[in-house]
Amino acid sequence: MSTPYPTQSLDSSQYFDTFGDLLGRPWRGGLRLRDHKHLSSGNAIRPFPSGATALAIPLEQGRSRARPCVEPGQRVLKGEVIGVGDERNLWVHASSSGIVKAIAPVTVADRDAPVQAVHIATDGRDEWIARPTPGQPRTLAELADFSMRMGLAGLGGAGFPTGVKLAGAGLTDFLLINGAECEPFITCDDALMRERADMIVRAADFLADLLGAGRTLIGVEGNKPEAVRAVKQSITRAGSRLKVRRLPERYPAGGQPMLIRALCGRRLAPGQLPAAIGVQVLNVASLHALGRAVFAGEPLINRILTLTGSCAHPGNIEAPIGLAVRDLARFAGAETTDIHVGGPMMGRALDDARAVIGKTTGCLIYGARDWLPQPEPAGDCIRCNRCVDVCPMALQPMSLYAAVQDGQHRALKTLNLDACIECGACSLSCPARLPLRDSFRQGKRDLQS
Amino acid sequence: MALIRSSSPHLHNAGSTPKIMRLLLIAALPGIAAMTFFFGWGTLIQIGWAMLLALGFEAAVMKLRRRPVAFYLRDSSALVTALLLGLALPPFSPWWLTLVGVFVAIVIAKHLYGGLGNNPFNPAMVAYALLLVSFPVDMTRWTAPFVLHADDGWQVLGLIDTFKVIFGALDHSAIDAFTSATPLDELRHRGGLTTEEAFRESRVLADGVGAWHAVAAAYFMGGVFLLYRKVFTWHTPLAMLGSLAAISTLFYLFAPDNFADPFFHLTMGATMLGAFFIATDPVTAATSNRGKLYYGAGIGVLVYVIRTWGSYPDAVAFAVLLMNLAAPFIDQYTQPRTYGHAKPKRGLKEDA
Repeated sequence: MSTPYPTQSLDSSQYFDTFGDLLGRPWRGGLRLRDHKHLSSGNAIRPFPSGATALAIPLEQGRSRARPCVEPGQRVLKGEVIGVGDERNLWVHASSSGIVKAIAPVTVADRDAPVQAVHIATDGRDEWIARPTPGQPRTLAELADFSMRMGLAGLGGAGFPTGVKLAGAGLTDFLLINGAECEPFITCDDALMRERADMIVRAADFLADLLGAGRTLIGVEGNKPEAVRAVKQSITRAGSRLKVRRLPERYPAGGQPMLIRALCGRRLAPGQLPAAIGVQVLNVASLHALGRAVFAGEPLINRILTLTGSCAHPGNIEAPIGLAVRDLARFAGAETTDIHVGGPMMGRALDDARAVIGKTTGCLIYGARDWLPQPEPAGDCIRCNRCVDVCPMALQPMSLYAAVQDGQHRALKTLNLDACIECGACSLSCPARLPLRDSFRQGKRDLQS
Repeated sequence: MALIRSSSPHLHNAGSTPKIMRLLLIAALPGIAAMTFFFGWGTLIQIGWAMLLALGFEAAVMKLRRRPVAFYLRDSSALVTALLLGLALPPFSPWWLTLVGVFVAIVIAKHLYGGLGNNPFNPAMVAYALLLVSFPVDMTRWTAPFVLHADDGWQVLGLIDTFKVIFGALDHSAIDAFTSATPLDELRHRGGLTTEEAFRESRVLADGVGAWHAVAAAYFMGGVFLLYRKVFTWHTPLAMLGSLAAISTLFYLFAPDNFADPFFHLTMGATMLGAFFIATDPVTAATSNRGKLYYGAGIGVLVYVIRTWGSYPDAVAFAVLLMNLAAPFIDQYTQPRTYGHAKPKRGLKEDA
């Protein structure tokens, strides 16, 4: 198949950008992307078949580090604590029953450096530890602590511990649930909303009560009508206060500043946390995990991820954390080792074939060369302004790029590099194929050092 | 699989730099065809000759700069510069005029400033302005449209003769029948006549003006195509044509005997070529959409001012160059507000 993906364009309303505010668009810029979601959205979520396999469960998640509390040779049950955290660090649990083999580094598919992990040889019996029906957390502080103990991390991408986020909540006017899933190819949140809307709605109501949130809104991109319908039906059944809002099909509709602006009209200033403007944002999968933890006593040991691209059985699969990417390939019927992790905009190529699935690994695209634009040699900037037109944060990528190249740190600050959400819209729209987003990541590292 | 999102007809991907440049070349085809139809083979020869020279100079400079020659030739930007110059030069201008022009455009105006993307002035317009100032006689000897010297049928100077004229084998005096002043020139040097009298007395203004109308229409078509393909946004052309129309309407209403009507200004000279092919050059224009409105409007006003009170008949090159000069300044004051920030950053204040 010839590179079908890079089809993109300025949003048609881009032409009227001068009048964007008058037309009431919640946010400027962005791109229409060819979404390729039909590849994987056809089937129901499948569980990964239990059977003896090897898991390597990462103890680190972003800045969170758990202390291992098991030893090689020890038998662990599914859901048993294998890493101890605290109020900033997430607890880690065994995703299946088996024998601990080692505590050694492993590469997580969507992360750079290898992290410490507990390697478990599972016995295929998938035996649960006794789950005491937890007394439901009755205050926000209790819930925050409970979330840390249940290993709940944001499943949308950044993997920020849900407990830390909740602990930082002040007076909350809006609880916003992110079901935008604006990246092409990925359908795991879509599948989740279609199939498990009841749990999402229940968790949303529970969390809204604890937060004292005045309004609860879930934003879903317009290309997921079935998900919208399923969530609406659950809301009616449960008599929930949750409201569904369709988001425009414009990347990055799920970016936090865009989502907040579109759902409740507030502006999140760069560097500001949503809590500072009375908003809490949770990804729909994170909320679902919270619901499972609260109502079923299940820690976060599985995640739903999309297998798509050139494979025999694309679709969404509920896989244990720590599963090797190689095992998934067999399941998906993919032969290629050319794998892209995450969405085409924010994701990356998988370079370590022994990598495992982490909590934030949401998508594997097989045969990246067939589906995604391949790097082209960069030319010179012709100041066409497309990057500025598509930047949802209204930054000036072309000026920022020049400043990064010249190492002008002061200019980087004046041009608000810190506001860049690294969505990659600029890189995709650049006719000279300049690596804009990559250079901004570099620029941010330069500024920190 | 189609490259275009089928559900939305207007969502074309403008693509890479080489693709943008090729679209520009394609969009100029109606204009080239109209120029050739009305003014003969000279335009085609000029464009071909200019393109050959441009590729040669571009390759030579890239070699000197130790850059990959093939990669940079493929982006076709030199061809676009050559095309614009070829369209702007009088169809019968001698070969060395084009040579000087292309050398100035590619080597001096483009590469001495750092190559594609770094040149502050539109290379083709720098060359045109330099030629106009240095060789006014050659630059103002325009070709008469065929409608002036044939009552029936299409009669232009033959292809071979045109070659001979351009490359010096045939003297210009031999083809006097095929040359004339342009309408803008005629109107400027009308002596004591009112505009209405000039339109009646002058043959070019009375009978030949339709050729220029048709050429303008052809450029306009190309421009609409480029807008449709989102090679540029509407801001610059609309602002330029709008301001030119507005200011010429104002003076025409005020004193129709002394000033030409707005339609004349919109269709004569390089107005349409300038609005869609020259002013829209992103490298030398203002960048933000609001900036482009100011930039385009500035060009429109300057075109009118120079045409009416300046000492040159047409003014697009000078107007574009002057606004090129102003573009960085406009940029400083028209940057959009960063999301979440209360105020846009304006001007050169050093507050960081």
